[in-house]
Amino acid sequence: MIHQENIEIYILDFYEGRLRDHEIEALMKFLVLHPEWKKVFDEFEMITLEEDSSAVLSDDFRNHLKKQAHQPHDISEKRIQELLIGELEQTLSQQDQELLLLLLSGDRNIQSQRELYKKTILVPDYSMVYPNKQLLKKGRHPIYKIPAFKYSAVAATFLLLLISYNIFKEPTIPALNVAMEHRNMISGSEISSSGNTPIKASQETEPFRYAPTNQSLAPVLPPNQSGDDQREALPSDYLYSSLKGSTLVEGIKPSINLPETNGKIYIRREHPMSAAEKSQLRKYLVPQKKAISPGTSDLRMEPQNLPKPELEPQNPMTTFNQPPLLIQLKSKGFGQQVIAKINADAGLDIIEEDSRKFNFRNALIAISRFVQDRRGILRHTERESSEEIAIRLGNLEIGQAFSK
Amino acid sequence: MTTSEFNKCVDLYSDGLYRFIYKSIRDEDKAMDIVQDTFEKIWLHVDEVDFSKAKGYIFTTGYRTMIDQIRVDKRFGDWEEVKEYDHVSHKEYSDVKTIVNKALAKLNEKQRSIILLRDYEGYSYEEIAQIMDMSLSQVKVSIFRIRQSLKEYIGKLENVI
Repeated sequence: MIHQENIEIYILDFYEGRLRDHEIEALMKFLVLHPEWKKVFDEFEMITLEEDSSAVLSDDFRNHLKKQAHQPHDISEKRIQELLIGELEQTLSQQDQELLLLLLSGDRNIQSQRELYKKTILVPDYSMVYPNKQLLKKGRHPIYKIPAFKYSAVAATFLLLLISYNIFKEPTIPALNVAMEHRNMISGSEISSSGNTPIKASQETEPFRYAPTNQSLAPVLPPNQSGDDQREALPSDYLYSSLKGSTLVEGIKPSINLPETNGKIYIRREHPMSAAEKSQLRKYLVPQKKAISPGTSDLRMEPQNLPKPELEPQNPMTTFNQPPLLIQLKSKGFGQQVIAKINADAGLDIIEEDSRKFNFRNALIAISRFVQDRRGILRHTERESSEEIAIRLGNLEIGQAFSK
Repeated sequence: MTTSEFNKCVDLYSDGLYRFIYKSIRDEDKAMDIVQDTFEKIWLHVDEVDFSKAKGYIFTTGYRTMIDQIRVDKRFGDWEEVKEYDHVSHKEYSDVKTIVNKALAKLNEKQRSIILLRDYEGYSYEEIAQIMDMSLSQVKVSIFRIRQSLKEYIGKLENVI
């Protein structure tokens, strides 16, 4: 039934053609009875809007509005970061990888972040290599390689060169040779000269007969027996406890720093000295410190101060003829020093060390090189191969002992 | 591990360890000393180390030696912080590699070590955790934050350039 409240609906339906015949008839009767609505009916037009072709969205904006079939809409920024880093770290699951690809396909910001993350991967600089690799190796005949000396090592080397010069400048090395002769007489064993030719130790009763190691440099001289040097001798067990046969004793570790010594030099940095031992060492060091540089005599141990070694006949140390030396190395400008004692058996004990910044490694290399040069055993040249060195050192039993 | 295996380890891992230490502390001499000390320590326990696990052992020892060294140096107050970057202008950032190195220097020591082990040596999270004595989750969180930090730094500098 048509009335005042629904007449507009009927009018609209009429114009849209949705009224049936009996409804049209009812509508016409209503309009006759209500002329005010007849006027509205007559004036009604079906207005249609034409398309405004100028008002269109850009493709970019439209694409931005589009959604992928399974695109998540609740991805947090943190989750995106996790996905990007996970991709970098290769820890993403298959599902996460697909999710990341979806995100990347529609978001330039995420794409740029991904590029930035790729740049965070550190690439090793393979040109940067450890320069002294050969020095780290262990073995019977390591290859000698001179490391880059720096700073304190330069000062140490200079000092050693100065010492070397002063020693060789003199025609004799009485203390050294007399000392060795003293040892040989005690041990009665064979010794080798610097030319590696074994000679029989003297059996004479005269206590200090000079046995030169190098005829051109060391003519026979009587030992200094004046007895005016009142320094205390080191305890014999300290001097010679460093080697027992071919085995390293406790507290001593072979140095990997000093391959040019063919394994014969070792460091006792961590030697657990007793209080008594320290005390004796201090007494010994006092006069040495005072006159340590630059004279060569400062570095010698007078024969009467040498401890009496207890050498075993089979001890490979007997092939060496070097008395202990005390060497002080100072790092210029820093006041740091290393006092090292090079033993008769070529063992190297660090007696005092104030060398936190001191280039310990290079200093020791310098020391060992100095010792080796003095003995004439090893004079390294860069052209010399490890095999050549091995051949030349082949008769050095002590090297074999240490290499085990 | 035999002597020859030890020497093989030197050949195989000393360069990597050196790069790792050097990049961490940026001091050539100290890095060399630490590498040397590390192999010396390894040598003392050479009989106890299995060659197949030597790399992890070497890097663990190297890392701990480095930390010990850093602590000692800091205690004595002469640790040379990486100051070279403080006065570097953006004009010097010639390439991404340089920028990444700058970013790396901004990280703390632990972060730097983690990311170097990860990227330089390709260690897994588990291995890094073992070397650095951290939990697995700590390593993961650290790497996440480090990557973010590096990305932010690189992004900022790239914008400046």
